[in-house]
Amino acid sequence: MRAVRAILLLAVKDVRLQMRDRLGAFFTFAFPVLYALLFGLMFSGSGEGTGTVQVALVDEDRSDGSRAFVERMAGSDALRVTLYDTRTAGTEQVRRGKESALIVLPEGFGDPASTLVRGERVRLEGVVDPSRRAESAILQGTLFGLVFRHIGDTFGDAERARAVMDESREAMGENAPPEVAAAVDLMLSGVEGLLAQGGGGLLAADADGPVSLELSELSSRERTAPVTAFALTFPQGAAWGLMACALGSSLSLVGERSRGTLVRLSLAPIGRWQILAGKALGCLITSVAMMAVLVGFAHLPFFGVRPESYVLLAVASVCACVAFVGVMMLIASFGRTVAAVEGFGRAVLLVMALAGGAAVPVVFMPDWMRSVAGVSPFRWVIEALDGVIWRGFGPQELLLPCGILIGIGLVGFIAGAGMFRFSRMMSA
Amino acid sequence: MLVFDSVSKSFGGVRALDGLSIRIEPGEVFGLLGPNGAGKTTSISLAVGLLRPDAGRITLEGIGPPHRQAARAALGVAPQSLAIYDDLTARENLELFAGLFGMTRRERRGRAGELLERVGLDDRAGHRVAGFSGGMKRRLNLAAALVHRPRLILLDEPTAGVDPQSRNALFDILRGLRDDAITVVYTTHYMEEAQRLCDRVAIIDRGRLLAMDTVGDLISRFAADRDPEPDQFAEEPKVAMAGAGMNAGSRSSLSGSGRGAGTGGAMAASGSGDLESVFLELTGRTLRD
Repeated sequence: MRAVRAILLLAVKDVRLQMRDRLGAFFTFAFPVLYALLFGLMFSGSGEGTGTVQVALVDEDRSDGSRAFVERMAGSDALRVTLYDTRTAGTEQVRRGKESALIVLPEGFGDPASTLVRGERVRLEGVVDPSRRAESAILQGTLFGLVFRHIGDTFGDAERARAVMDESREAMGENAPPEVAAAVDLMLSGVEGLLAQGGGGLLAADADGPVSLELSELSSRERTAPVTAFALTFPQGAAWGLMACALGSSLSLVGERSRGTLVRLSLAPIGRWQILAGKALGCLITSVAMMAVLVGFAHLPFFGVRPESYVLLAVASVCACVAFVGVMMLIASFGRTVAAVEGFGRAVLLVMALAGGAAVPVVFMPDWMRSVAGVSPFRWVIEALDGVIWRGFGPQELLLPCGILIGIGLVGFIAGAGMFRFSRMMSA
Repeated sequence: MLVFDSVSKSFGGVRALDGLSIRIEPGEVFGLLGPNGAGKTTSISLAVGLLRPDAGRITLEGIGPPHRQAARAALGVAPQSLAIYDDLTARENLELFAGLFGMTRRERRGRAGELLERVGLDDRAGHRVAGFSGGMKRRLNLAAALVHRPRLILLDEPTAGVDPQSRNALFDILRGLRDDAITVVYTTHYMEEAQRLCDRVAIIDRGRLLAMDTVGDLISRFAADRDPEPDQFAEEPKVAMAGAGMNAGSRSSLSGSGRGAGTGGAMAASGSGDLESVFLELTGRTLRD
C-alpha cells in the first residue's frame, strides 16, 4: 500500500510538472489537435500519391473474358493485384488497410469487347479506402485504360473481332426487332469491311463513357456516414502527442538526475523501481489525458469524428499510451545528460514517426520502408486508432496492434529501467 | 552516530578515499573540510549509502550500513545542487518528500507548514520555487532534508552562493538543530562558518584524514603562533583575494547574531590564529582547480 502511495505521489508530481511547463503542455495537448486540424483541412478529399496501387480483385463472373481481364490487370505496372474469392474477403483486406481498394468483376462482366459491341456498358464495382483517395484516382484511370486497351486489342486482332461480332449476332438472335437487327447487321458488316481492309482500333469512348466503374468509399460496418479527413488525421495527431509525452517524460527523468532531485528520491525509503514506476505512471496519465483532449476535440461538430466504439477506442488509446511509456523509458536510458537524451530522443522518434506513417501514410512508401514501418510503434498506434475510429475494427482485429503496443511498452520499460543509471554521487 | 572505519573508495584509477576513519558523535555538529577533490562529496555519498566502500566499513549507530532501507529514515541530506523542484511550490515540494517517507496527508501538511515557518518561507509557501532567490532555495533545500525528522543530517556546502542574510538565517536553523540534538555533518569551503558552527572538524585531503579535533585544539596545534589570514593578502594576492571574497559575508555575519561553539568563537576573538590558517597549513597553498 505504501509502495503504491509513493508511486501515485511521484506520478502526480510529474503530471503537475508537465502541466506547468507551458511549451511542453503545448506540444502535448495543443499540437496534436492543430496537426489533425491542419492536415485534415489539407487532405480533405485530396492528396498526393505515386507508385503502384495495391488492389484486391474478386472475379465473380469467372468467364473466359473476365479471366483474360484479370490477367491484364495483373500485368499492369500500375497495379499490384491480389485475387480474393469473395467480396467480403476483399473488403476485409481494404478495411484492415492491407489493400487500397477492392475491384469486383461482377457476374455478367464477360468480355469487355463483346459487352461493348452488344451496346452495354462494361461494369466494374469496388470499394476504396477513404484514406487513399489519391490512389483511388490512379486506380480509376488505370482501370479505364486497361478496359480500352483490352477492347482495342480485341478489335486490333481481326480474327478475334469477327468472333466477337459473330457472337453478337448470335446473342441478338431472333429476339431483336427486325429493324434493329438489320441496323446492327449493317453496322457489323461495315466493321467487317473495315477489318477486311486491315482497320483496327475502332473504339473511342463516348461522352458518357462506355465503361461504368462504380467505386464506393469503404464505410464502417455499422454506419454509412462517410469518413471525414479528420478521422484520418486525428490518429496521426495522437501519435505526435504521444511522442511529445514520451520525450517530455524522458527529459524530466534525466533532468532529475542532473539536478539532483533523483538523489533525494533515491534516499527516501522507496525502491528504485517505484521511482521509475512513478515516472511511468505520470507519463501514462499525461498521455491518456492528451488522448482524451484529442477525442474531445475530434467530437466537435466541425471535425465530426465519431468512433465506432468508445470502449475499443479507450482500449486502443491506453495500449498506445503504454507503448510510449516503454519508449520513454528506453530513450531516458540512453545518454547521461539532458542535451544528449534530447538529441537522441528527437532523432529516433522523428525517424520512427516518419517511418511509421505519422506524417505520410505507410501506403505511399516504397516496399522496403513498409517493412521497416513494422518496427515503429507509430505504425501500430495509427493502425489501432484508425481501426477503432473508422475502419470498424472489432476486438479480434484489435488484438494484433494492441498486443504489439503492449509488448513494446513492457519490453521498453523493462529494458530501459534495467539500463537507466541512477546517480551514485551527490552532485556538486 | 556515524563511523567511518578505514574506508577506501576508488573511481577507475583515482583513489578518492584512502583509509578514512572518522567517528561522529550523536548530537554534535561536525565539519568535514577539505579543498576541491579532497573526497568530501565521496564521503557524503558513502555516508548516505549511494556508494559502497571498496574497503573498510561505514556504520550508522543502531542500524548498520547506510545503504539499508532502515537507514533512510534516520538520514537527511541537503545536497549542494538544489534537490528541489522549481515548478512546484515550496509547500508542494515539502509535502511530496514527506509523503515519500510515509506521512499521511494531514501529517504532510502539518510538517510542511512547521518547516516553512522554521526556514522563514511560510509567507511564500504557495509560490513556485522557480521565483525564489538563491538563499530561499537553499533554505527550502535544507527544509526538505529535515522533513522526516532525521537523527543525522548531512549538509553539503549549504551556504554556497547565498547572501549574508540568508547565511545568517541558515546558521540560526543549524543552531536550532543542535538544540534538538540532531547530529549534523557539514561540509564547506568557508572556514569561518566551520569555526563558528562546528563542535569538531576533520580536515581531509586526497582522501586522507589530515587532522580531526575541536576547532580550538586544531588552532592551538597548527596555527596558534601564526597571524590570521588577512596577512596573506599581500603575499599571495590571487588566493587571498578569493579568500577575502568568500569571507566577506561570513565576516559580516560573524559580527551578527551570537557565536557558535564556544571554542571557535574564543579562538577567533583571540586573534592568535584561525581555522583558515590551520587549513592552509595542512593542505598547502597550491591551487587545486
